[in-house]
Amino acid sequence: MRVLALTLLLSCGGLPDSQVQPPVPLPSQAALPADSLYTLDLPLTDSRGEVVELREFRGHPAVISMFYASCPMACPMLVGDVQRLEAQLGEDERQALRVVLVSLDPKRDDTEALADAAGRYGVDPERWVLARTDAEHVRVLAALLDIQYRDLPNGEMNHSSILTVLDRDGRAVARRDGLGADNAPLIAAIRKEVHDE
Amino acid sequence: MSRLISPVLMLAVFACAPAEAPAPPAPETTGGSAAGDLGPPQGEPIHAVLTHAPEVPPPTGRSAPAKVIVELEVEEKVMPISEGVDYTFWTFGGEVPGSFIRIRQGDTVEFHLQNHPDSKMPHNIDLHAVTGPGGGAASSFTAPGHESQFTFKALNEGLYVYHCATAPVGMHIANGMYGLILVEPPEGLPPVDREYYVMQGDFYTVGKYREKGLQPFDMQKAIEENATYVLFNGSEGALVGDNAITAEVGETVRLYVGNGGPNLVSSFHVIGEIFDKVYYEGGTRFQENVQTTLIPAGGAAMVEFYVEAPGTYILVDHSIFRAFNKGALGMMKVEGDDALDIYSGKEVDSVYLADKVEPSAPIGEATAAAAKGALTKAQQVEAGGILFKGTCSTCHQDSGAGVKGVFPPLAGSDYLMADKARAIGVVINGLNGPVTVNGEEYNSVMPPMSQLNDDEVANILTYVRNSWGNEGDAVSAEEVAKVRATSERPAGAAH
Amino acid sequence: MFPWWAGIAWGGTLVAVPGGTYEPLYPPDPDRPVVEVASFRLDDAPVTASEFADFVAAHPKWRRDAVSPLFADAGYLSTPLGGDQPVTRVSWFAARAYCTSQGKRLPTEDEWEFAARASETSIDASHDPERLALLLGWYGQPASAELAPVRAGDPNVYGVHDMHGLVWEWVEDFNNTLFGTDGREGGDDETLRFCGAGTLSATDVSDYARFMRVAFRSSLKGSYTTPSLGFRCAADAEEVR
Repeated sequence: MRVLALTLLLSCGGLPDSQVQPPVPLPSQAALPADSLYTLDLPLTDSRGEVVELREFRGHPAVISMFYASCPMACPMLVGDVQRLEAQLGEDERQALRVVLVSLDPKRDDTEALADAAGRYGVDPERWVLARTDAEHVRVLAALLDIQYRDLPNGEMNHSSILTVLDRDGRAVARRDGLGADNAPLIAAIRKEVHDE
Repeated sequence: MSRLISPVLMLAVFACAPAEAPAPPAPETTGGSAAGDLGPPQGEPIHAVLTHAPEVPPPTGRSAPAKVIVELEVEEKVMPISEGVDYTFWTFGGEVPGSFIRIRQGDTVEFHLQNHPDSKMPHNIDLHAVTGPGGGAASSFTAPGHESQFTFKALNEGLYVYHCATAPVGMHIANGMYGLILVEPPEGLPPVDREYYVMQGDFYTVGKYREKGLQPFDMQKAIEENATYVLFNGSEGALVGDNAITAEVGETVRLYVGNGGPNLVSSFHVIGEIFDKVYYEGGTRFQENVQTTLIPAGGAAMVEFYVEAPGTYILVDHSIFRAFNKGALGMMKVEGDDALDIYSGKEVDSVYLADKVEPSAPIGEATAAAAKGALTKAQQVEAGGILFKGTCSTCHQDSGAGVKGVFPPLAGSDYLMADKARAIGVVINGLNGPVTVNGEEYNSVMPPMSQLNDDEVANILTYVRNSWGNEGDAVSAEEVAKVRATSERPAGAAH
Repeated sequence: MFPWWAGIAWGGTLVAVPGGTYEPLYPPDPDRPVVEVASFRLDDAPVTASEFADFVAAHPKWRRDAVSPLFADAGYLSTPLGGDQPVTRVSWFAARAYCTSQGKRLPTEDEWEFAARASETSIDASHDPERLALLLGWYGQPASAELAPVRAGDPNVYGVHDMHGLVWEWVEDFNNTLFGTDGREGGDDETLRFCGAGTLSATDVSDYARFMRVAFRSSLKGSYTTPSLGFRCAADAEEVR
């Protein structure tokens, strides 16, 4: 009975069983390390409405965080922090860097809202991705990035402002908690990825 | 916080220098935290030596700042808080108070806080020696079975409290989560012969003082600041008997004294000594020739004294009911040749207190036997004798002879032997007003022994009715309960 | 909507918890301290070690030697699985996958706390001082003792066992609590650390038991496991036909 029930569940699909899938090796590249965020099966859609996979950023250092488009104060400040960080990088380092911001507010942040935010923030569309996923995966990604959040009755959200640097294989190698905090550890980690072989 | 210190010192300087008079030399200041950065750490990282109270780590002996690695493990564990009384302590380093940390000003401390997997609670640490928001608390918040790391530079010299700052903060501190960190000045502290670590704390249990068994934390008593125990080094026996700290005549002793609270301010005093120096509030300056020094909750002091005369010196919180009714009491035993020119005579306190550390195993055996209905009179006499010494002998004397004209005798006492129920009532309710014992009138006050339970009263009375030539039958707990049930509880007595 | 086989193969039995209002310790809007909790269903007991063993056997990627290090720390399932004791040393990711495999989900913090107010006789015994003392007694004990089996005691008025006194439990939004990790932190840091500048004033500072649960949850990350932390599953209320 037990086995039958399980089979039925699996074959019927139901809710997604889990978030981890065996990593899909990229052509001519080694398997991802087990603790890589790129092993996640995270369905993302960007501000152009295109499907994005995290592992597309493999080979680049990346800064990843979470935000929401209608956020009046902390998110613009967080974006400003990343832009300030970029200004502290050399040109080659800046060109290598990718920035991924995933929405905490899948209900309201559709493609249009994301595009609007990208315009307001004035980010480089070649290197920055503002994206959304479904509510299930928002909680998963937040848990992986150690970001706390909840909805407020007035439509705003409380959330922590944490920037995480991923290495070229998607492993978290540096982290910064709090707006306006020191960028130095993040910059050091990014430089290491760009310059170390 | 430390940033506040230098302006305060400067104010004090200005206040001492009236404009018209020639200015007296300004007291030298250390420069506070602004002068406390002595440059980058030198040499290989050093692993800090941590000690359990009353031991203190050796002086750092360094002349340059170093990187010091401190690893401190949080452990929640059941330990005795008093004889036969257990309590679930939350500890830094497995003991209360937490491990003593000793560093030098300018050191860079890499702090590792480990929370044992068996812990039920998350914990963190706020070190008052840290300059920075929260004193490390937010950076060290650690779930059970995990470890946090943060680094700070010790900018201010002094003796500092550290404690847990996880909500509910009061409960974490009340369960014993505090200790001391000493930041030596660059030149070190003046050498002394002995150094000890003593830390006071107040505890709140559901059961009354010395009620046996595992006692849970009582939140309401803690909120009302109605301490059940006030203790040095986390348990009633921590600094008495074989655990007393020691010194020899002709030595200088330095005590690092902290107060973890959570609530009470300590009036720290050593009976029979005068502090030659008190580095009050754990700071840089010292006062000389001090009898009692005030140590706030979350504060500390260093006290030093030279010992001339042998004997037992008693450490107390001179808010004195805490010493004699809540446990705030320790001992320092000094050996050496008598210095009769300086002091000759008996130290009354030492007799009273030394007796409190009699082995109490027979008490527990008697309790267990009574529970099984197998209690013998001999067991009662043995247990009662120990309890008598701890409770009654100060007045009635070990010999039962009392003190003529003041405290009536029990040995050969007609008053005692004539009426068993009356004797029980006297112990439970105290005695106020004139009585005639063996033809002599006594008119003093005996307080109600309301801390004793029925078993204990029965054992004590069985002992006194069968000692020093007295011959009587045993007193049972049932007889005591019967008298207690018909007694009016004196106003203000504990229950 | 809910598959007929769910709940009968293994795992706790879902019981109905009628919705209502309650006051979270840290309400999202301090001016409106009362929040609505919709009717839902909750497992009558924590998931046991043997139930979790069955799950792992059917889903080998959740085995101790196969699990992704993103989803579980080194202590994951480090105590042998089996028996009617609650499973512990499970991460949030693993707990969530377990519930998902049954067509259930983890309860939200509001749901868990709402149901946890109940005693054997009342839907809200959270202000009973004797009960509070009992809870504090349990929270005060180290987790070294062996756990009792689930359903050993009486259920609460909903028919739910072991909300207290056995293990801490994961909730879906364990990471919702914008609670300074320093238990005394005031408001100013929060405006920088957290969007919305929400002030964090607890509604009832004397409810130490709830303080301790909030503190415990906020110390966790999704991959963390501890010997005193388990979980149970929940589901939305059945649709009225």
